[in-house]
Amino acid sequence: MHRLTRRRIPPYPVPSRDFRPLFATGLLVTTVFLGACGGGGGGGGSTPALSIADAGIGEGDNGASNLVFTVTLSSAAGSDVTVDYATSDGTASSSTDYTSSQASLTIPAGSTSGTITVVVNGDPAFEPNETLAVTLSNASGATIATASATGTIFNDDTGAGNTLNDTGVDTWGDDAGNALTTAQSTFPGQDADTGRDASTASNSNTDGRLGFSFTKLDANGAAFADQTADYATTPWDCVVDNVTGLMWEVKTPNAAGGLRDAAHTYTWYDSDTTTNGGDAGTANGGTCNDTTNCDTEKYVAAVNAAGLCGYNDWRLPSRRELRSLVDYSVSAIGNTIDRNYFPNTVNSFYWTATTQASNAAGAWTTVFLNGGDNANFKNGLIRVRLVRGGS
Amino acid sequence: MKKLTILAGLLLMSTQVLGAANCNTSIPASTPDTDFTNNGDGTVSHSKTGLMWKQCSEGLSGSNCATGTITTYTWQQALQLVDSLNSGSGFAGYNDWRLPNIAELASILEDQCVGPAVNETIFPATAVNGYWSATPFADSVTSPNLVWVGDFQGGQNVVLSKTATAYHVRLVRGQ
Repeated sequence: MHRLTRRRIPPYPVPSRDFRPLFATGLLVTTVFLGACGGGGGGGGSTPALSIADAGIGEGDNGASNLVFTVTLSSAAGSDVTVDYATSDGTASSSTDYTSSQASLTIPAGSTSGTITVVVNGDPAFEPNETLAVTLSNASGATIATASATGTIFNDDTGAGNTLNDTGVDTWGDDAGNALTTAQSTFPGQDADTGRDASTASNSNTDGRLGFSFTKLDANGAAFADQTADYATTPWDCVVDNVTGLMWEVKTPNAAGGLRDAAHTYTWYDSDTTTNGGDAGTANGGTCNDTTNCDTEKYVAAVNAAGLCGYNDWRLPSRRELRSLVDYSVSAIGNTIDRNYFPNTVNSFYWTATTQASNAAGAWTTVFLNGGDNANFKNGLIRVRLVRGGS
Repeated sequence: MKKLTILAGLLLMSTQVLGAANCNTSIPASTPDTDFTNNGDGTVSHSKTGLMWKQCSEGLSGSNCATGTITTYTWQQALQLVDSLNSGSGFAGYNDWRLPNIAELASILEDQCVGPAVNETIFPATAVNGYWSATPFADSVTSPNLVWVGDFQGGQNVVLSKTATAYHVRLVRGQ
């Protein structure tokens, strides 16, 4: 017999942060839209250059929507500029996800931009974010500076909720230390050597750090076309995890008031004797939006009554679900979660729905201070982030 | 906020601890039998995560993992053990076994049970003790020697020294 030396995970800081086409055939002739008119009509000598910019759109659950690419001219031309374009599959497929198109765009004399519209098909199925490309060719009256752009169809659906997220760890350790930036041959096969974080196919930081992939949803549950806007400018209400398929509540700013204020705390309460481990916990013991609903069960009911993001099947997450949000590359005080998608997260404990097997007076929390698990007494004053989706 | 006293050191038996999990069935099971397929070759496939697990802890073998002696390793020994296995004979016809990362390891913790916190039908003879993950702890400044460990006694993720104590190994592959 010996002791498992149990070390408390220390509360120290550490921050952290930070497409491509093939070929497809298309036959559709797409309409050409005119952009804003530029200044003079002369062009002033040198040949103007065309550039196409990336675009995005929420997938939607049904029907068609328009993914609009903007093509800009470095300066207005004295005569019409024409350029051919064609869509091609990235991870999106032209047979199901969008309608391929191949046509010509004309930017009239004096204008400096035009748009290309690709029709995207909505569906209610959980899929990763998907991409397609639009490529310019055969320009007349201009050169091509940026020939290709990526269009992203952002997932807004939930899935089974079973796939694991990778850990976010992209550094190595040896006996003396961690955070080494190269693979260690005498410490082979570490976390950072494999998984979504290690694969260039899945570790882009544009949709969440490394292997994580999230989509920001508005109050109606629709994905923002521009996923890069920050919370202060364009606050969002929910986030869907494109790996696990779970949809998450986003808290509102600390102490700003309202139902989902990040500062609110709740006691753990579950009146269902088939799930509460034999101890229902403590009703209404927290500090929240009012004086009567400050426990987990009542908070769930309140959020469902409010129809957060258009849904009323929100619930307290299980241990495995809440743990799936932990970014293990961030230690202490940095928030072990991607704050670019989960703003207003407090460096503290968040309840799970799971009673502690060794003591039914306790329930598990995930600690977004260090990524650890902690059991707390059910009368503890703890924060909550709700989830939906999964099966 | 009160924390339960689970953080104080727990007495754990590192060897020859079999079975005897205490389970509370009014807690939803996190790893029910129906989520696993026994492949009949010492491995099980977890339908939820898509991962394949070696049923026995390293050192043990046989259909109930009743043969042999469960072994402990330092973190480096654990990593090198997997490397040797893959470059040698492999296991069950596979040569891409890994030490699980901490999220994978935690996915086979059974929420209903402690001592061990695991489904013992699927993972017989699991030690009531720590199992190494392949995930170093992020705080390299103040805690350079720590790595994430799955504690299969109480069923939680903890960080522990890579060298101070030897722990167990359970292998995973896939994904």
